[in-house]
Amino acid sequence: MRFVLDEDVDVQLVGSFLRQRGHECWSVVDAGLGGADDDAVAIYADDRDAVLITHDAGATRRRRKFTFGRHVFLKCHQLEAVELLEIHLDELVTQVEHHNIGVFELGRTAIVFRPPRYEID
Amino acid sequence: MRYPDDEMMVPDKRAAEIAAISRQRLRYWERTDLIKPVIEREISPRNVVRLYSLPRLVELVAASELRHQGVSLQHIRGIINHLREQGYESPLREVRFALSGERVLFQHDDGTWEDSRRPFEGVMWQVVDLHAIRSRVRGRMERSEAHAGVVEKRRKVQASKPVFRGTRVPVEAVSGYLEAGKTTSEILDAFPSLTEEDIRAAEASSSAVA
Repeated sequence: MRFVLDEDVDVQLVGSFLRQRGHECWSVVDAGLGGADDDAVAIYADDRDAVLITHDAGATRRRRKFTFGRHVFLKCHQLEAVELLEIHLDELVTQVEHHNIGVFELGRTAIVFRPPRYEID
Repeated sequence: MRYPDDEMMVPDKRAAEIAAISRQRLRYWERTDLIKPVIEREISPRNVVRLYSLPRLVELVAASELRHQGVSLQHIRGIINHLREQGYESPLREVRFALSGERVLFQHDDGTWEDSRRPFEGVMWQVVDLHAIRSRVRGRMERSEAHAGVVEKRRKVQASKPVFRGTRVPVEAVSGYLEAGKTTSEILDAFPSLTEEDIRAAEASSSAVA
């Protein structure tokens, strides 16, 4: 699976972990989008057919309102991200393959899938 | 790690800064099909995201510099079209051209001129050094050194929480690393766009809160 790491994600820890698990990943800084706003980063990832991983709660709220692409919200501090991914990565990949649009919130106990608002309304 | 040119993109505001033109001019060049973003998507009627790839940025800087030299938009259009016809798979190092009335004539690699015309007695030829422009664009895509150590809040970045200027990295993330006893080197590996000055700023803000 292709992952784009937001600038607030530890590229050393999370990047190494995902690559070891056989996934492709690169960061928004690699892409030239350091400092860009939430929408630009999300649209870039979607255009590259990649899943965006972020710790940004504000960006996640915006994606729930205007959803496009696949967006993973790591609901933890950066230093806990790998621990969370170790617990949930396989399930996350299955869920992401099943839904081609939406927000996936990774907490310690579960993954919560948030479909686009227009599918709820 | 650096990604291929076509994978690298910046939003329109940064593209205008890199090309040293106004956003109005950027939009005008887009509307008149001179240089368009590679991605344009409407999020809402008042929020359209436009992203320019690195090859488009090279075109923008070339166009901007030619405009400053007094070259007309019509001629610039001819030069940009020539660049695209050459393709970016094997990028040109430079383009040599001469303006002849309404036409732009290009010099081939072997030194001959387009249409086998004998050029240009009394007509000056010019060079667009694409290699140099590309290097300048790459440099301008980096975070500005003047932003190091500066904290700010920005709309649509980390829900307007304090971040380091020119990045999407929240100060509180770095504070967490410092509290966990991580070294400067480990923090810079985690967030490569940061500098030591940013980490000192985070230390200062943590001690101010304490």
